[in-house]
Formats: sequence, structure tokens, C-alpha cells
Amino acid sequence: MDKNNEIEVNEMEEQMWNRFGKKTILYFTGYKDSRVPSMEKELKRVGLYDAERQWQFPSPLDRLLLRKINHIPCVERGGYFNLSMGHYRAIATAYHLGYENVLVIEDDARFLNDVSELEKIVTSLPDDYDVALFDSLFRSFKENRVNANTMECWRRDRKVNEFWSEFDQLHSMACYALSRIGMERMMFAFEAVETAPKIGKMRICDHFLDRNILGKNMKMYFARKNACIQRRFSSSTSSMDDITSKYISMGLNLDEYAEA
Amino acid sequence: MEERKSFWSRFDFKAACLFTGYKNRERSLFNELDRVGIDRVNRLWQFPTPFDSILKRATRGKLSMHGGFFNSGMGHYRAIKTAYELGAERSLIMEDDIRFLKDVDLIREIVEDLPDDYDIALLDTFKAQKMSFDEWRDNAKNKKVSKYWCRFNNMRSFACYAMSRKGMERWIGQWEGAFSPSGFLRVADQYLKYECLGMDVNMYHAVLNVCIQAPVGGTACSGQAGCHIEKYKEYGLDIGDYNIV
Repeated sequence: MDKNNEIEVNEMEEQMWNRFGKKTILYFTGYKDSRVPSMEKELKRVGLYDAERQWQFPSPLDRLLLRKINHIPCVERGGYFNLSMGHYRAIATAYHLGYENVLVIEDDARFLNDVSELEKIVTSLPDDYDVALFDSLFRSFKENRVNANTMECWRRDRKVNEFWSEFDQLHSMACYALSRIGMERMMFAFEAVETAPKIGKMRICDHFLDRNILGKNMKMYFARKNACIQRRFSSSTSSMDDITSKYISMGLNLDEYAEA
Repeated sequence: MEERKSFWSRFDFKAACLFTGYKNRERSLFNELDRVGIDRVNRLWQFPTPFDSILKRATRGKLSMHGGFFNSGMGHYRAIKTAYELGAERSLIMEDDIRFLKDVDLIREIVEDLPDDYDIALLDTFKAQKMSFDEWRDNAKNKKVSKYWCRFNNMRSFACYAMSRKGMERWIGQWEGAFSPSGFLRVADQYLKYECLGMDVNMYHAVLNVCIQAPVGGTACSGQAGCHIEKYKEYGLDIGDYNIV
């Protein structure tokens, strides 16, 4: 529970994240031993040590909620609802506190080893973003046409600068930033299960990263080269194998990223 | 400063229940915590959500009528449950409007005097409505377990309290149980009685409040903050002893 003091905080690197009003690290009590110690070191290395830690835990109240709301079936499995509610809390907290933007990072995100390269990606994010994914993946559903090739097309054809491209529909909320409008739209998507029960459906949080859900006019960008990836831990679900193979099919060299 | 921090180290998890509706309280609270040497405090933000109404509909009890109490209770639930799930043995939970005694040495004396066998320890307290002032004074006098602490049943205030693992488990059981078909949802501090938590729970409160709920902007979740001051005066507390600017 106490912060790890063995590694020096990298104050120089803190500056690159200053553009984000609120920075939240999403921790899960179930992974306190497996993921948190190494994440604390990672946060120091990349200059995110001053971010607020938010703890999420499974609760019987979640099961009660799930029984009462519309949701897609897979939300029930593997802690996805808990994960989604953690993201909802992180976003809604920043929104209610009046921040103009928020940066949210999951506990298994590991950044580029080369911090100067990371800094270039972070600082080159265009100011007009509503959703910015520092880590991104294509979806794996059959009905979904977004795949590694689609991402490559977006990188090439919808480039907004050297490091960022626009997207319509992607996965991964391992590390992302939202503008105030981005927060509002994401919150609405979550809350629609109660405020608009006829159309609202609780999804795994990543499924909301869709222009059809968030709005056609949203500025949705993804880093052309992932600034971070999700690392596999012994506590990870089996779907992490799928995620790792996706990174490889996207042409990423996983050795460039910090270890778990 | 290090000396000040040391006597709080008996608590291995410390959390502040913060409410986004009173975000202006965060800074002044943390200045106060710094003054008395409480560090490494987890910030736990709470806010009302549309999901609350789904939960409220699933409960019986009067809380469904008072949104602020529900939100406050959920904030305490988050704090206690987080501590429990992280494996904490001794948690210290604080609301955002507390102010401590000016005399830090006296705080140290009171905190160090807290018996090790506590399950719930209230650093701030006031009586339940049904209790008379005489009963409250008798309790403080006759049920002493040490110089600064006495045993209680059915006291109120969740402004600042410590819990053992057993205390956390029992309180969580009550709160989560309230959402079951046979449960009954109460205001969070109304579970502080043997009938709810069990006869084997050691519940102590400080004979002299270590802190009080102060009027620090806005209305307290548990009522009119200004009214608390009047209430404390009725208890015979000298408000001048507390760090209220």
C-alpha cells in the first residue's frame, strides 16, 4: 500500500504529462501483489508517480447491478464489469471535479523503454483530441472489420501528424486521454443503461471506443506507434495471449517496451 | 514531523472519503492532515451516479429517500472495502470536513492510548438520538477502558474512525447485506451497535474527541455542518481547542 521508494522519481519526465489535468492509475485490489509493485517502478521511470491511485474491487453490489441492467453477455465474465466500472469511476471523478482532461492508465500498461521516444509521442498529441489512445488494438469480433490492415490504412491515410492518426473504432483502454467532451460522451455511454434503458447497454469499456457510440464529430486519435502495451502477468486472463499476438501482427517489437 | 507521523503508523491503511460536490475541502483537509502528521492517505472520491438509483430500488429502508446519506454511505463502503480487500489489519478512515485538536501532543497521547483490542474506534463521536446526555456522560465515565477511551454501544459519527479487520468485515457484511431481500439499509454510522455488528466486537470511542466535524464550506453530508458545532458544545467540548479557522 505504501509507495515504493527504491527508485528515484524521474522529475524531468513528469513535465511531458503536465498537459493532463488529472492523472489516474487504475489499480485492482485483486492484483495488489502481482502488478502494483512493478507498476510503481514504471510510474517513477516515466514520470507519472504523482498520479492519483484509484482502487477498484469486486463487490456483491456489482452482481446486483448486473442483474438489473441491460448488458452484453461477455460483461459478466472475467471481471469485465469490475474493469468497466473502474474506468467509469476514473472518468466520472475527473469530470465531476471539473478537469478539462484526464489521463487514465491501467495497472498492466508498460511504456516504451526509450523515454525520449515516449516524450515525442505524448507531446505531439494534437490539442483538439477528444479521445487519445496511447495503446491501441484492433477488435477480434467476426462482425468487426477493423483488423491490423485497417489500422495500417488509418496510419497511412488518416494521419494527423508524425505520431498520431485518427480512428473510428479501436480497442484497449490501457492508457488513454479524454477531453471534457470525451469524458462526457463516455460517461453518457456507461450511464445510458439507466438513463436511456431502451437503447443503453453496458459493454466492456473498450467497446465504447466507437465513433458510432461516442459521436461522429469526435476527434479520436491513436498513437501510430503504441506508446505502451499491456503486458501479460501470471494473474492475467487467457485473452492476454490473444492481445500479445495482436501486437505482433500489428508489427510491434515487444522488446521495445518495459517488462511486466 | 517524523515524530508526529510515527504514532499514526499503527494504522496500515489510511483513506480520506472525498466528495466531488465538496471538492474545495480536499486541500484544507490535507493541510490539516499534514499538520497532525497523517501521511500516505488514499484519496477516495465519491459522487452520485445513475447507478445509485438501481441499487436504492433494491433496498428497503429510509436511505432511498436521502441521496446524500446514500452517497456518503457508499463512500465509506468504498473506503472500508478497499482497506479490507488490500489486506489491511488496521484502517483509519476520515471524512473531508474534520479538524483535529490543536495540541498535537495530546492527539498523540490519545491515539497511543487506544487499546490494541479495538475493532471499531471513533476518534470523533456523538450520541445516538435516543440516548440522553446523562447516559452519554455516564457511559464515558463508567465504561472506560483506558485513560482516554471508553466502550460504547449505539454511538454515532463516521467522521474519523479506526477499524480492525474484524470490524471491517462485520460492517461490510451489514452494508452489503442491506441490499439482499432481507436486508435493511441504514445511514452508515447507524450500524455501530452490538445488534448489528455482534456482541463480540470491541467498540470504543475517545472520551475527548480527537477531532470534530467543522463547518468548512457547504453542507456536510450528514447534516448541517454548523449544527454540529452547537452539538459539540452541548457535549461540553471547548471548540477553541480544535483547529477551526
